Amino acid sequence: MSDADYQRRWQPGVETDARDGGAPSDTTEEQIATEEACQRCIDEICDPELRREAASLLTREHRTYCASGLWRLSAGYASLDASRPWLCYWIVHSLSILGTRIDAAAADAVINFIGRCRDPDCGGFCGGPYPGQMAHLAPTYAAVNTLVTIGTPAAFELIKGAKLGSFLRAMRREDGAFTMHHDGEVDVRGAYCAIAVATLSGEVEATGPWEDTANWILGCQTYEGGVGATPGEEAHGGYTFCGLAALSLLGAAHRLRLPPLVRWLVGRQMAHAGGFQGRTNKLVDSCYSFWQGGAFPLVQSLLQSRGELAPGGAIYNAPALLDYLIVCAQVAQGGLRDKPGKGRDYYHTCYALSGLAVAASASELPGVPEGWVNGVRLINPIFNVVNDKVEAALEHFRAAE
Amino acid sequence: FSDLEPLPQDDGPVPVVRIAYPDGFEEVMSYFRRVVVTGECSQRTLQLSAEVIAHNAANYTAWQYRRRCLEAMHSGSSNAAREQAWREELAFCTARGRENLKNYQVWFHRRSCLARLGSGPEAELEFVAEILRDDSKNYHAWGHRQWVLSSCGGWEGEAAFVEGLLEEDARNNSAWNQRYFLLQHTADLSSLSVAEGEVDFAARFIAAAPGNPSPWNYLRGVVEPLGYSAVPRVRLLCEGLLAGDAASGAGRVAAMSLLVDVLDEGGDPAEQERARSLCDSLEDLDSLREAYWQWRRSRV
Ligand SMILES: [Zn+2]
Repeated sequence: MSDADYQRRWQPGVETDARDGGAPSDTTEEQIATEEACQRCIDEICDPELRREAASLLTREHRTYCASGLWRLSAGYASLDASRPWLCYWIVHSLSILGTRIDAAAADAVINFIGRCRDPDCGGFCGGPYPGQMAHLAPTYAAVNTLVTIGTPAAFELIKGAKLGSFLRAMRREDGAFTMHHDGEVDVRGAYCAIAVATLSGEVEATGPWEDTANWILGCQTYEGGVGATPGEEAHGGYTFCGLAALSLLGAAHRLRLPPLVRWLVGRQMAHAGGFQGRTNKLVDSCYSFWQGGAFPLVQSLLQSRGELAPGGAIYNAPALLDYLIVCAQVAQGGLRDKPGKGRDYYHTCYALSGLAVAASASELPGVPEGWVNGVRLINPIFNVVNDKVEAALEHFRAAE
Repeated sequence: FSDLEPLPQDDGPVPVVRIAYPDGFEEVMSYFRRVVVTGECSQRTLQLSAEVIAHNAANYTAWQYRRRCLEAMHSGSSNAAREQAWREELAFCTARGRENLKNYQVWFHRRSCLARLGSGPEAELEFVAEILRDDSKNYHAWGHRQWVLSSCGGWEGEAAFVEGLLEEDARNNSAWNQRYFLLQHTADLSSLSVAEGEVDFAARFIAAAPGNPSPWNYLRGVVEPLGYSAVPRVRLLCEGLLAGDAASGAGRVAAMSLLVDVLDEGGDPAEQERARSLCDSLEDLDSLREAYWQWRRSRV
């Protein structure tokens, strides 16, 4: 690697406002502690002796970690016993980003398991095998994304047989918002999961009209520019992604107030180590590499379609995001973590790698060593599934109509 | 439960994402699975669902089953008995809630109890305040507080409550959001005097910590719909900060960034030229966002 790799204008480790000394509080204290933890990672990697050659994407280690979780998980995952299709998705999607094809036997096992999570009466998928749990929009989204990622005829057959249309119609409220399950909470996640699942399975027409849904989501954009869980709630990375992706699918993203949205999004990237925070004045966390980072391709393509951004142009700092993921979020034994000092888990591994895949697709990555992004598969940021698998599913269900 | 046959989880011939369940987890779940199939709604199934929740508070089916049980068990009860049952349920929720502050189910269940009880907002606002004392940015707690205010009232004390939190931590963005929410519901945001008052409020916090993004975002949110030229003190605030040396780093970036929008708004060529040169400076000062500032410059 040449010294040219260090010529980037942005340098990790810059001082941020937490150290300015104004109005010290819990927030500044936690921010400084997090910056110090990140700084230790940066110092280790940027040791003048080691330079950046010490850092690379630990593809092999991440594969091993994911492949083991596909079969067995520790007792700590009992709190996700009602989210098992999510565990399938996080692991299968992580492997697919890393370019690892799961073998036919493993694919069959996953399809078989997801099939058992189907609710035969209401349609949709539950958080675990039926009976014992109710159908829920979030595991339904995770199940469909897992099946699309596997992409075999048996996987498509299962999507077709899951009565998704009737389940989605039952979850829809009069005002166009979606409840996560029967007698459950309502927020932007519901609308996103519903339109994503409907699109992938060819049920958009059958589950519409979607006009009210778009209007309801637009009402969740806050004064800051991001999107909150419901109208009035604070702008938040997870809900902003859900709202923006849902509106993109509904062809209504241009109705968001774009300048504040763009300003809010770019403002969430952290000057100290390059990662994203989820809300204003919160700490960096690798999962927002996707929730915030994944919003950029959607916003950028919107701006490009209006002639307000050059083709291929970007408005965020992809190399800096890669710095955070490679230097601060990776765990040496495989897997990725929220931030230095935290343990790895499959959720953060999935969304950190998803953010990595988004950043890797930037048209220019000045100063980024090739090994950081080589072999990383491109994803469709709206669904967060690898590109070619999304195309195959859309094609399959279009032909089936 | 001797009359009930446990129904074990069927993961199929080749299980995936198999969790090494802690002791007791599977047994409780097997009984609960059977109950869900039979649909029995009784004191004992209510108790069973509590055990499921003790093992996994994110089991949304168990929470919903409690609502279903209570509805069924009290469909013929007197109003007083019904109310008593839901009051006990709220207490159950409080006990479970303190250990599961980041859980969607417990907050939604709480809302379901309150909606059935129809009591005033005081006790509930106090409960949320107590949660926020330990975890001042808890997203669920703030969402719940908004729901309580919207459905039960209690707006009178909210401004003081929020201000208290901001005095404690001016970077509590959730509190800033709540101030905006309060204003939306109790004031006329299209009124110039309201906007000016809010600019002054935010300016006080900006003076104390110019690099704190929360009051800047708040100020923009209040003024943007009216237009910056309608509230000249916004420009004065930015120019004042940039003329002095009180603000360093992030504070200067925030002031310059807002000034770009102020100067760009009127379409005056000289002002726009200055906006573009500010963008040039921001490319260096805020180098992480270099690409954004180049784009912003192109949009002037
Ligand atoms: Zn996270």
